[in-house]
Amino acid sequence: MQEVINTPVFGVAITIVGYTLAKELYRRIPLFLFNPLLLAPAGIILLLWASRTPLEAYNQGGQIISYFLGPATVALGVPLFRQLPLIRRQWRPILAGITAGSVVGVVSAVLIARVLGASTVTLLSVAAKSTTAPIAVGITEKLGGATAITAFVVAVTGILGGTLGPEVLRLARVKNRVARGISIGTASHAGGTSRAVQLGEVEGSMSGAAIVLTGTVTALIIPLLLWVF
Amino acid sequence: MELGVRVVQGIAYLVGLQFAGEFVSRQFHLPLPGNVIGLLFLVLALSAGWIRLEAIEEAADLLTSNLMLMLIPLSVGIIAVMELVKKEALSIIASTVLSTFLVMVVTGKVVDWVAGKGEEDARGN
Repeated sequence: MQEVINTPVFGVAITIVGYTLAKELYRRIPLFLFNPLLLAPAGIILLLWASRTPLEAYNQGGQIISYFLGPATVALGVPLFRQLPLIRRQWRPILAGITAGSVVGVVSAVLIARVLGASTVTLLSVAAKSTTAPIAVGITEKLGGATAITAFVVAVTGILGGTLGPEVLRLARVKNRVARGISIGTASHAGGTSRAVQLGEVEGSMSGAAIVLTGTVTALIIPLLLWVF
Repeated sequence: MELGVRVVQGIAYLVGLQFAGEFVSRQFHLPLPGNVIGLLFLVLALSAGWIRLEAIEEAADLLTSNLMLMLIPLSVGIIAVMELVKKEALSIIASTVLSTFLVMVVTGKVVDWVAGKGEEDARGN
């Protein structure tokens, strides 16, 4: 058994099994705590802990799977390309909102964490939290933060947008459909978009269009903003 | 062409673009991550017609619909930084939650305002 654990097969296998099980469970019980992004890693961590398997052994296989985040990020160019005509039609409000949202996202996350006494590594790891996970991970790697923290806060951000997004917008009296969609997508990427889709077709497609745009804009402005601090 | 062959071919395109993006990012010391540059290259190549959408569509959809799977190993890596996370849990959670709501309100208000200036009738329900 020990020999198998020390080959990449182990990490690849338990990641795929964990993912499949967590997705199936969430499909049956769609409680936010059962979100596969939280449940699958938690299950794997428990398994590693119970079997006293070091993280390095798991990572031999884990790395193979997470490598695909690179080409998957490039692949996000496809939805962006498909949405270009939609974006072009109302590019002024869309671009204005996404730029404002990206700046506020980075500045507020870093400032709040700093006021509460977070270390530099943590600041660099939460800066990209509103962007879609693969882009956020790319940004954090470039900044020198901890990608594991980024993966966690990005998941929390998505769950927040998906559960409370429409309520927050109602309280803030944002009524324009385009504004609601862009807002949810900019703040909480695909996690929020899954809920925006239920609000209506305009909200859903706008939220989807905002995901990749926000990631790109944030990647562009983050070095500038952090340089200012 | 068979689906499997098309997917492999599509992934080859994506990996090639990722490589080009990484190369440009490192060579010119750009702050933009290589994978994001690759993404921009792809949009450019599709817009210019250098790559046909059909050539990469299936591979792209396959990868983007399984992002969650690829993120799991990264999240498991949180055990390596557990001490830091425990010590700074409050700042991590508080900044994430507050910032998410702030972004939502600011973005919504800005889009509302800019769209409202252009065409009043864009206001739905």
